[in-house]
Amino acid sequence: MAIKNLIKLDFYAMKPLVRIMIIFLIIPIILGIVADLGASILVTLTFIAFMLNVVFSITEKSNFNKLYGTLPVRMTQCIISRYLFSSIVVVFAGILSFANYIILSLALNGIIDWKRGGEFLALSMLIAFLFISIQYPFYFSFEYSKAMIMSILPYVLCFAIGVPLTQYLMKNDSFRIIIMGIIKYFSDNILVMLVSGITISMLVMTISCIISIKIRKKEI
Amino acid sequence: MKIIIQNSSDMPIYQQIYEQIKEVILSGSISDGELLPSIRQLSRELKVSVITTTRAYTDLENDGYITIVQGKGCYVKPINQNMLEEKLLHSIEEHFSEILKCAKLLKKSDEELSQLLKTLMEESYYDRNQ
Amino acid sequence: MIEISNLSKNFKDFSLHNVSFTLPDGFIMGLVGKNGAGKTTTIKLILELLQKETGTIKVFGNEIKDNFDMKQDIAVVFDDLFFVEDWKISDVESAISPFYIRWNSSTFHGYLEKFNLATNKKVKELSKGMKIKLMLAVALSHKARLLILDEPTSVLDPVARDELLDILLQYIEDENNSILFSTHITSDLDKIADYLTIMNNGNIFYTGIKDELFEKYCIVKGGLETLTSEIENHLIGLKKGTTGFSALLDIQNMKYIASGMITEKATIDDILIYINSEK
Repeated sequence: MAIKNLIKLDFYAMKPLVRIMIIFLIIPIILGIVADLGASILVTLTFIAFMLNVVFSITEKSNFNKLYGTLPVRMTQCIISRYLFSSIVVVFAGILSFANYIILSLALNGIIDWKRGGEFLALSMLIAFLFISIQYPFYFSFEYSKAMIMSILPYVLCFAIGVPLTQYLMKNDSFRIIIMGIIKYFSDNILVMLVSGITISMLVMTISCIISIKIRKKEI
Repeated sequence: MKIIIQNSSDMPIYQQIYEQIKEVILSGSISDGELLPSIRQLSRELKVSVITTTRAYTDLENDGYITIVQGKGCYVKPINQNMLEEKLLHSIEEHFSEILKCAKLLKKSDEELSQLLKTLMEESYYDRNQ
Repeated sequence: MIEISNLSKNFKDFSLHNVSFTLPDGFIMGLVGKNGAGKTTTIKLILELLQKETGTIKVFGNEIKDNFDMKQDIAVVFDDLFFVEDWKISDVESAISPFYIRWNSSTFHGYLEKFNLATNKKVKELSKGMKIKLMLAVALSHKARLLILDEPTSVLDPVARDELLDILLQYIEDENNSILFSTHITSDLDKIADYLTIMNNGNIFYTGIKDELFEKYCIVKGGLETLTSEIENHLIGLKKGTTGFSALLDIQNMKYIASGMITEKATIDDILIYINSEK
């Protein structure tokens, strides 16, 4: 009950930004027409994942910590509801961008490449949930301005270490064959891809939620 | 019922309330059995704390002027004429004792004292009949 | 209603030491002290916005530890708003009311009317005073038994302050309700507070019935020549000037006062000033 109300509260908090969000959703449409339809899904969801942390900024500016102290709610419930709120937004954005994909596919190409669309959707949602899972513990532990800087850190690290590492590993033939094999397997079995995508997403979100609860800032 | 609180007065507020309600009761402008404002209502009207009005009412009850009925309110007690007389008599006695003490210190004789009393009574009679 | 004992909390440059006080049901307690004395810290500890280090805090007879349901019966008004500035007042009700079981919409709208707050006005368009009134309207609309106010009057003009006092007295007409009112504007409390807790530098200077405080202390003034070191020992917050001295005195030390010194009633402000100059 309280969690449902807290999710609604988050939606209310985002209210001032609704117009801006809608305008920004034009971007995938443009991208889809100009560039690649699949990429439009990816860009939309990645964008949403980054934009979502603004809810922390709004709630911090509006003294919501004092509000949570006054309302009959537990801090744990506040954290869980924030994750649920974000999941709802990501899923909703996924549905919208997929619908956009379908419409534009029909309008521009006359046919719908379901496989490609599905792949991009699954991948985008996974990436979006990963972004959220990595960022949120920072936002729950530090004030917004600090957290914003700190949450970039994992990506920078991934990039700095990950890209050269991947390049190095890919030079290794057997490694490359295994990776390609895995990618092909998922490509051929859409259902498996979707299910594992959902499972991994839920898993990382849950782990992130637990971490947030454990390390959250306890003093206001 | 008129009660006026003077913040600047030296008399504590609960005592001011006590005295003014007592006077209203004794003067008869409130009849016995009549309902007084509740402790909390009075506190709100006079903008004073609940403890202050409680103290005033408790003192009034202890001195026999009102009864506080739980859940119902505060009622004016019928003025016990005997008790009132007794009280006033007691007050006169106390004051007389004081007077005698002072007279003794001044070494005034009983006659001089009686003369003083007579003069004062005449003056007061004169004032009252102006 | 609230029972606090031996509460303490340490920060980098401030500490609460051994804070204890009790607010019984049905009364108003004023929590006073200069800025930084520890009033807001104490309130935050009661609401678990801060974690205490030692001591117990009981509200409605139960320890507050994670007992968030009791907040159905608690209403808080801070000196700054905890709503989103872009919300309309109708949004405030839609967002907040679902949390409270005993929310009464007509009560809320009644207060809005009384305070002249239009439901379609945006929160950011309200003046500081109207924002406080809005928080008060929310606080009084869910049948809370305990009303906690943290410095609500510092931004109110005298007319609004008077209205607020009347609303508080109306709230306390129901003897099941209690109010904890923290402020550094003490003239409000001089009149309506039943109990008083005076804090200074994280410590409690006095807690108890307000009337008894005034019977315990008085101001003493006199010429400098009448001061002896023996008398000085019994004075609190002695201030010496060219025209004489003034200080706070505990009445039981009255016997040390020389003739020629005058005494007068102390107000809460006086007490705060003198205990603060006592170092």
